[in-house]
Amino acid sequence: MANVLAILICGFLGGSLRYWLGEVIPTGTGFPWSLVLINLLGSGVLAWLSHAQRLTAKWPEALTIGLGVGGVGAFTTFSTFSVTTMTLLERQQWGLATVYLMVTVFGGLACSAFGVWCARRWWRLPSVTL
Amino acid sequence: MAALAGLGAAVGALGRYEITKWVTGLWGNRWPFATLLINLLGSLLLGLLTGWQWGTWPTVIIGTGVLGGFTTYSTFSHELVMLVDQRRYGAALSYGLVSVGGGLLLAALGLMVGLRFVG
Repeated sequence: MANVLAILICGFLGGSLRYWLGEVIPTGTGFPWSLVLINLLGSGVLAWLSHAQRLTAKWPEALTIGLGVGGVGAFTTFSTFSVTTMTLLERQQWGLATVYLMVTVFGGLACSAFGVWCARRWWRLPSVTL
Repeated sequence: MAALAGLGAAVGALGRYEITKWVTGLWGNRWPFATLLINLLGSLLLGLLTGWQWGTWPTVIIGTGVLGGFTTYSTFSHELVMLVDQRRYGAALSYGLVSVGGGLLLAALGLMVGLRFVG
C-alpha cells in the first residue's frame, strides 16, 4: 500500500514536470529538445538510483520505489518518443528523425552508464552520512 | 493542465508497476519482457490517439498523462545498459531493436488506424 501511494504521488510530480518542461522549452527549429532532455536526464537519474544501495538502504523501500517507478519512470516516456519519431518520418524530415533517434538511444545509454558508474563509485566509499 | 497530465501519469505509472509485477511473476526477469510489452502497447495507443486528433483535453490527460506515465524511457535505457554490463550482447541488441523498431512500427499503425476515426 505504501508503494502504491508513493508511486501515485511521485508519478503525479514526474508527469506534471514533463508536461511543464514541454511547454517552457522552445521547439524553435522543430527538433523535440524537451523530450530528449527529459529522457536523457531521467535515464541518468534512474540508473544512479537503482545502484546507489548504500544510500537507498537507509530510506523506506516505498520511497525508492516511488521515486524510481513513479517519479523518474513517469517523467521519462517511450510512447511520445516513438510517435514523435514516426511523425518526423511521415513529414519526410529524415535528417531530423535520424538525429532525434540516435541522440535519444545512444545519449540515453551513455547517461544510464554514467549513472551506474557514479553509483558504483559511491558504493566504494567507506561510509556516507546524510 | 500540468496537474491533469500529472494525474494521468500517476495512474499510468501505477499500471506499469502492477503489469511489471504480473509479467515478471509469469516469465521471470532474465529478459525485460514487461517494459517491452508496456512500451510497445503504449506506443500503439498513443499513435492511435494522436491520429484520431480527439482534442486538447483527452490528448493531455490520456496522451501526455496516462500513456506518457505508463511507458518509460529511463527503465528501458537502464535495462539495456545492464544487459551490456552482464555481457549479454545478443539480449541487449534484440531488446534495443525490438523496442525501438517495434515502437516505431506500432506508432505508425496506430497513427494510420487513428486517422480513420477522424471526422
